[in-house]
Amino acid sequence: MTEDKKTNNKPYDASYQSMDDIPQAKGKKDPFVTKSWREIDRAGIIKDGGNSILYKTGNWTNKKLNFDPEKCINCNLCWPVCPDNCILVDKDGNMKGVDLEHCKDCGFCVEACPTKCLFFTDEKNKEI
Amino acid sequence: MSKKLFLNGADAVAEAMRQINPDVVAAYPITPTTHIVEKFSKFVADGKVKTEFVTVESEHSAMSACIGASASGGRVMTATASQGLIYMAEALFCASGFRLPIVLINGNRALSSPLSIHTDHSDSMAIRDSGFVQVYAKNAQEAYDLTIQAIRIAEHKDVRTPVMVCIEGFQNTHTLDSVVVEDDEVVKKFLGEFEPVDSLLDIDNPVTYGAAVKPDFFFEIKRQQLEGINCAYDVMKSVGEEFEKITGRDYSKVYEEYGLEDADVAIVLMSSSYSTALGVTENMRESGKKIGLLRPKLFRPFPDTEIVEKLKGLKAVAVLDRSMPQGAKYGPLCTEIVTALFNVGKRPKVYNFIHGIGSRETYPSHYDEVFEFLLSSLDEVKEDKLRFLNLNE
Ligand code: SF4
Ligand code: SF4
Repeated sequence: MTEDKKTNNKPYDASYQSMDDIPQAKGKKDPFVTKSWREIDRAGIIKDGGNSILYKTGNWTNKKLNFDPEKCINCNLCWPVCPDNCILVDKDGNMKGVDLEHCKDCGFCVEACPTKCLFFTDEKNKEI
Repeated sequence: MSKKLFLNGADAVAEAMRQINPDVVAAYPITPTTHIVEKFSKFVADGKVKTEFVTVESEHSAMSACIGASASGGRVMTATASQGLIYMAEALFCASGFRLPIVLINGNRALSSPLSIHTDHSDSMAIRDSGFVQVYAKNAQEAYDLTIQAIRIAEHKDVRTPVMVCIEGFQNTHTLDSVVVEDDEVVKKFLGEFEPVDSLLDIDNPVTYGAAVKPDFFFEIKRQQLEGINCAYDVMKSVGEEFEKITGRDYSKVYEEYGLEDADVAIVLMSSSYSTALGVTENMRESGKKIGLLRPKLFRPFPDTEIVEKLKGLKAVAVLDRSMPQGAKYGPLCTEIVTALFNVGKRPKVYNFIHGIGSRETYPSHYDEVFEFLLSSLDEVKEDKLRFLNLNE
């Protein structure tokens, strides 16, 4: 499934300039469709566990999360509230920043932070 | 040694379930299948089976628990009927979409409103495209036999699809019948060891069930599912042949027929009505009438090729549907048969009769009436419309 994940987003991002650019119109293979039904795992079961890291959703957000390390007191209150494991804390418990490739701008960490060193700015997350 | 017992259909199914000894049964009581799970829960309480019996708060939860248990690598069964089956509907599609080999016993019963606890096929016909294999039993013996075979069909590697064994409420579930119950060891050997596939509890090989699938794969997964259910057709025949070898009871075909070899006209029907219709057909054939009977046991996947083979040489056929086709041209069984025959060059005229709704009796005289109708239609083609047996017009 790893390979499939890479191709997942592409067709949706493609913008066709004219009708002639639509591959289906020319009788070509649909770029949406990457594998035969005979080859894929049964019932859409995912067999390589822990692969959601490969699927980058950070560009689904409307706001960008920022981290100011100057103000951070390393309390780690932000870490347990993130539903997507995006708070990057090293093994000594030091807050290292946020994983913008998977952050979905829910704001839970922003609410939890006592020093307001996690904050949103009104821009698209461009790092993906 | 097998033994002949005096059992009603529900008890016969409970006996089969005891012998199957599933890992999990999750069920909610509903007439007319309450006593299947009631008797089975006694087996659990008495230590006759090692089953985890989950008493859930609804049928929706029953099927949901079955899905969880089956995905976790268990052999799983449940029983329900009517409103219960419809309440399960959402989860039924999930079970088949996940390709889980759950076996469900449905006691065919009418749907509300008005409230009726009596028999017809409206419940299982309403969810006929839920992706479950559907087989329809004619009596307690077949209910017992098909319940055991359903496990093998569902778990077959090419099928991996849930199976619904439909037995008629009251006509089958509550009437006493003589039933040959096979030896426990024989059934155990026939079923074989259950081998979980893609189990959620296999922590060395983690799998995810239920992830969202986007348009680039959904169609392919559904096409694959179609292959699974369609394979049940061949698998049912081979499992049936194997079952026949150990029991001597004929299960090599997915249908039962009588008199078709030289018949001009025939009635097609399902489930327990076959027995009454058979008596009438035998009598009428004695007086030289060229008539026959056909009873599909398998409805999903629909055995269209064999049905066509059996019917194409006839002149007229009456299909008796036991559910109300609200707004449709024909009942579901007739629709299948007309569809199957459509592309055949020479085909019989097909007439549709609705009967037995909410346990309205179909007496021998009604089958007699249908055969006379068919025979007279050979001289003069009748109007193409829905007809009703024993309805107070
Ligand atoms: S905004 Fe939400 S998703 Fe993003 S880092 Fe904070 S808690 Fe995690
Ligand atoms: S909650 Fe704020 S101060 Fe505490 S570790 Fe997280 S970012 Fe730093």
